[in-house]
Amino acid sequence: MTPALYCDGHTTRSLPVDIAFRSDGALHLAGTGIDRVVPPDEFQVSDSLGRIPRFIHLCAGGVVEVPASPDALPSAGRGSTPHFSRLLHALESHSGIAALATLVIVACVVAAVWRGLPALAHRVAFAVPQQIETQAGNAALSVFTQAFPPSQLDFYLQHRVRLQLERLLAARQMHVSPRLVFFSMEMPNAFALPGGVIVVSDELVTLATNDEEIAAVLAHELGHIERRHGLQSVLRNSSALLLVSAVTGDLSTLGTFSASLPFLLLQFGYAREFEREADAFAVDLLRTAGIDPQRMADILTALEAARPVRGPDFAYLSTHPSNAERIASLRRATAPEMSADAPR
Amino acid sequence: MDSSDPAIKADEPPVLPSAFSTPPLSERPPPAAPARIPFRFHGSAAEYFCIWIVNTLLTILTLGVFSAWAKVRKRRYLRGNTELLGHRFDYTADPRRILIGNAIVVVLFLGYALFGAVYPALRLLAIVLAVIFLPWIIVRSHAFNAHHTMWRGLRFRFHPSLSAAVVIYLLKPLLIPLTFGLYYPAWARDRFAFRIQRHRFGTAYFHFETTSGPFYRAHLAAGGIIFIGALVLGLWMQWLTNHNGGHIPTTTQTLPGFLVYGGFILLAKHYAFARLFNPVWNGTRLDQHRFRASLRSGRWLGLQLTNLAAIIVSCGLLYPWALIRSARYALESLELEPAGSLDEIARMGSSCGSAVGDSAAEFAGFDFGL
Repeated sequence: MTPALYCDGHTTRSLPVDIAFRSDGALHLAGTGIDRVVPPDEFQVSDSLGRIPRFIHLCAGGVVEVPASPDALPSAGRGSTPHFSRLLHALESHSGIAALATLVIVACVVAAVWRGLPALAHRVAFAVPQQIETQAGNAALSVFTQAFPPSQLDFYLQHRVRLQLERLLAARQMHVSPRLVFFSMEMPNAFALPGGVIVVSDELVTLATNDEEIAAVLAHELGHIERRHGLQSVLRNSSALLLVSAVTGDLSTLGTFSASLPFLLLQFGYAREFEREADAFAVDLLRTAGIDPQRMADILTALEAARPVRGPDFAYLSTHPSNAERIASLRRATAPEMSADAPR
Repeated sequence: MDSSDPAIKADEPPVLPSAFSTPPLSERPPPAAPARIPFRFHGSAAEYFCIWIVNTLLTILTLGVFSAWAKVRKRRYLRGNTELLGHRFDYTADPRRILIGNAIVVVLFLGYALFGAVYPALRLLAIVLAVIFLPWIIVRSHAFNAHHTMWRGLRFRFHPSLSAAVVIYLLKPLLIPLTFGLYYPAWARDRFAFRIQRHRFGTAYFHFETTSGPFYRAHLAAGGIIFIGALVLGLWMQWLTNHNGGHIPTTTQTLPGFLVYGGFILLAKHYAFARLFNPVWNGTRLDQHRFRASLRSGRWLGLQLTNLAAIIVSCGLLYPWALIRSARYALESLELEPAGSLDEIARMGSSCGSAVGDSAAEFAGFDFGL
């Protein structure tokens, strides 16, 4: 016998009763002025949940409220089966399971942020229509135009750089037609923006000792462009925009967000993985165009030497791989080339 | 009573209260009935955390399908731990029905996203349709939740009057821009009146007698808080622009400003809730029985600020703790003041004569997650 409270479903009057389940599954209610037997199919017991009371709903009307007694009652409320309900309650009442669930959820979230978001940014960036990509690039370029004075290079020098770009483009088809923009930036630098814009500083052109070094830098920037690193960075930088774009396919706001790309690039550069990807692309492209990939390591070494003294190069603090690391890996990558066409 | 308690509506309406520790109301009530009957909340943060985390994990593993079951369990937990006069509240919704409501919303949204990309005109049409259907969705959700909330064997009811909902949710908001926002607090009051007065419990009707005054005062104060937040945001943007040498700040740079602004908006929301809790409940009657609320704004704000800090620091894991302590304080601040003896309450209601309404609520009752 379990003590319970019975309400008949007509008034809020409640009556203390004792309940018991008979061997055939029928419910027996006994109290002052009440002695009823309810057949097994004529009532429904709510699922166990925490320590809240169980409610037995009688099909003929009326409710029996039973103080929490997890095992005294058969289980199964609406939309569940006894097994499911019992299993769920068992999982919910175990602190070890809760700790495990917490760990699994934290792991899921961490995995989603570290692996899922970049993967999503990659997919979305490659789905962006060219028109929007161009808009995004123009938005980013306009910030550079405001920030830096126009180029002091003479037309002849600019033309020599353009020739190197054309030489590379002859070797490989790109998804957009890249264009060059020069600025005077007070330090040797080059950036790739979405839509095929390559920003080159005057200082970089004067730093290069030959045209093939310029070609190496351009090949690297073409790698950023072809792999949509600009768009991916914008999307990664704003996960909210990324999620909205991924779900709705609405990319029209991408252009506005791209205005923040120049600051991102000036402060942090592209992510390490993007730099490595662009380096690999550049090595490949330079070989196809008949340029020694060593030129890439040469110009990076020169860049490293020209870097203003700003303290040590914290490779792991910045998201950018240190130039020394890149130079070393480039030299490694280009070394086997000496031994001619190794089988792939 | 869940849907009828406007004040607690904020997130999940924690509903009212019961325990077996109090002697159950029997046929012969004590001659000297207590003047005020407190609502009691028995939920425990640790217990609810275990339930919540398991339900959340199952929702993730089932790609959201389990969320309907999780929602029902959350509501059952909050209502089942709420005690009034020795009895707990009960929530009887079938999760499968909530799943249907969720599925409809997901399908419509995906359709909007997919077709909207191809035919932009469809987006406008979809938004217009959504606005037109809003009153219907609101009254259906209220009706569904009221129908499935029980106390002492009786169900709550919400009279789903569509025309009144259209007036409240579609026509009256048009006055807000026309009056430069001055009408907004009065509209908020009308929304409460609509929700509360269309609820009944058994044969007892809810009435709402609070005037617009407290709503104007609460919204004025909340508006002041938001104004301060906007000032802070503006100053931050100004500083950033100077800092960047006249250039547009980046998204990353502006983020702290927007976070602080969001914090102010949350603060304003909780403050308005706290300021309105007492007037709304004190102005609510169930037939001749009254409610008495004594929530202290300062304590509520402190509670919500610590909740927010705990949720941020724990990356959301302390949400169950925050929910339980909010529900506990809100319910501890609430009492029922019966008009006569407790016997009067015992005679309240009978939900008979509504067979038609029942099936209608069963048929059209979906919870759309409002």
